[in-house]
Amino acid sequence: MSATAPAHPIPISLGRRREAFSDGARHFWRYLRLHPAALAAFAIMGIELLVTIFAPVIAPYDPEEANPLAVLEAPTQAHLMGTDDSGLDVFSRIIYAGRIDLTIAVAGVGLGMLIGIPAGALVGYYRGVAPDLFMRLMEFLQSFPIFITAMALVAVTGNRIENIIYVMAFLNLPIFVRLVRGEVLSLRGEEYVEAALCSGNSKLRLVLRHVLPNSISSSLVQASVSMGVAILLTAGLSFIGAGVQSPTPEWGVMMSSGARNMILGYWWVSLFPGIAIGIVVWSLAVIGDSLSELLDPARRA
Amino acid sequence: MTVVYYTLKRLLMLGPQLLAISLVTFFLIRLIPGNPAAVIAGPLATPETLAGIEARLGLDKPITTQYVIFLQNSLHGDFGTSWYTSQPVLQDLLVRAPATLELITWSLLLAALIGIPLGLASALRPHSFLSRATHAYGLLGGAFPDFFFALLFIYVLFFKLNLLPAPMGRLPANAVAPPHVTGFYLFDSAVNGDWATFRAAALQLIMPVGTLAFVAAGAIVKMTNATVRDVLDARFMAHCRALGMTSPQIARYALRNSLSPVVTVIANTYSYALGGAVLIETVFAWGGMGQYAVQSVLQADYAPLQAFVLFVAAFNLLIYLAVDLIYLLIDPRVSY
Repeated sequence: MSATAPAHPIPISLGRRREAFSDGARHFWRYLRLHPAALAAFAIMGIELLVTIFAPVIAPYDPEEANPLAVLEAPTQAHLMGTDDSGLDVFSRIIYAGRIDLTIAVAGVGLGMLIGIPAGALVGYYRGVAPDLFMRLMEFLQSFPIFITAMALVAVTGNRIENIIYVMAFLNLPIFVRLVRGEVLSLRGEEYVEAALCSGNSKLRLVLRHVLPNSISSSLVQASVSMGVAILLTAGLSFIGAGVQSPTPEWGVMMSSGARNMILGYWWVSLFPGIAIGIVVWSLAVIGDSLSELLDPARRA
Repeated sequence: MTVVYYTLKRLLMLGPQLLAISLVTFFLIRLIPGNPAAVIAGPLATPETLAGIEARLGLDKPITTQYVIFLQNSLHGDFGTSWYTSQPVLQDLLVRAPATLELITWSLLLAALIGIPLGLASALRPHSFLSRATHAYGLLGGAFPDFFFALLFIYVLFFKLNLLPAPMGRLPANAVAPPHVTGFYLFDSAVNGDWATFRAAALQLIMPVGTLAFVAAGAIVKMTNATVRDVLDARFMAHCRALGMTSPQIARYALRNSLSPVVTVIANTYSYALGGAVLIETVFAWGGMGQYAVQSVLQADYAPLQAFVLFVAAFNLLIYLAVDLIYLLIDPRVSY
């Protein structure tokens, strides 16, 4: 649209963009001040990202180097969160584990969105037998308990990290297809869509340029929730031994190595990674909630 | 009469639905890149060993032939043999089914007993402390893995307070399983009048049931709360208030009108609990179907895994059938 603006296109659009940005930032800040839980959630994820990036600087020990002289040590100053049954430092591993867990969550959900969103838009706009069949298949895939599907798929593909990512993408595919399809179905009757069609846009262009961008905000909300679920699923898979394998640091693997010793009272090996999962997944859920309010233009005052 | 007719119709539809499930499950698993024979044989296998395993699993035949053979065998109750336990898969599953069903049934009852009243109460008083607490509970319950709570329970209730017996299996090591009637230990021992075993089995049940119920109740609370709130905002409720009804009356109407979605949530939770049971059974060495499924995943044992997925899908179908029938009973607006 701005490409056709005749006079001084660059300064005006830049200025407007900057204004829109600072307006958005102000709105965002005001929202955070009113919602302490949202503020906490965004802060936690920010810190978690920093910790993940600077893991080698922060972690006091090598996450995969066992110290046979320090097995199952309770939390002390030397080992802030103790050591596990092979003498690995729990604190260092929790810090490094974020790398694996967040990579799987972001890559898996991202891949699912990359395929699911355009597919959903197309299925929503075009009618016919093929889209109908496709939707039946999507609903069918969703009717299985998600953990059992994940387990079966990882079992068949082999438990390498890239396969876990593909499985997360596959599990998220029907969610995004159905979500975007629903949005498109409700948008296709809107006046601006009809106007775009009347002014000579092709159907495909209409879907990609005008309908899709308007259905993106609900996908962002879902992505946040889906990433939390992906972390829980990855942890669950690793916990039963079907996901990431020890000694690779991953929160579920760590809980699994501590589970054996919980009954003997060595609580720290499982407790800390569990809390890490809980905090991150909680933050992602709260961020999802906040995004749905922040991105809703009707709520913006 | 119509109810009977409808039930029969739905039961007849189960056949084609199961067929569709078997079709999708079968082809989905086969179409995934990755060769189960290679997984079984390991990385060092020679091509001859690999070919031998493929022939044994029937993987050398065309895929459509494989499916037809699979269907024929399934119809005869033959889901193949587990190469890990060397038992027929069906027999393995049937032996383990009661353990899992007993676990998730009790969990679900407990979860509904906690979840529905909490959800209703927090919806009726939206700004109270209780409402905030249930909201936090819903968020926290969904953020932690199920097995995290299981491990916490084990630490606190077994190790610290020593209130409960060791969390290993359905009965303590020195107890003998009650004579088989249904396979549900509580029921079987009660029928037999064996109250010592009943007590032992109940004590073993507390932690796994508590864990699953704690997590599942979070979802039920959330859904009950949201539904009851929607109902309270409806115009007929405003009418009730305008007529001067007391709050207990209003609460009763609200719950009555929220029942259908809540039943759906409970059904969803039931099938979710089956998935959660996989993890919980592993923690508590429960020896049910879930643990069997985990074992087959870890051993790349193909036949049991496929049968388990089919079983879960069939179980889901039956649950949803039951839900539709319950709708018919509790919601006079629904008719077929």
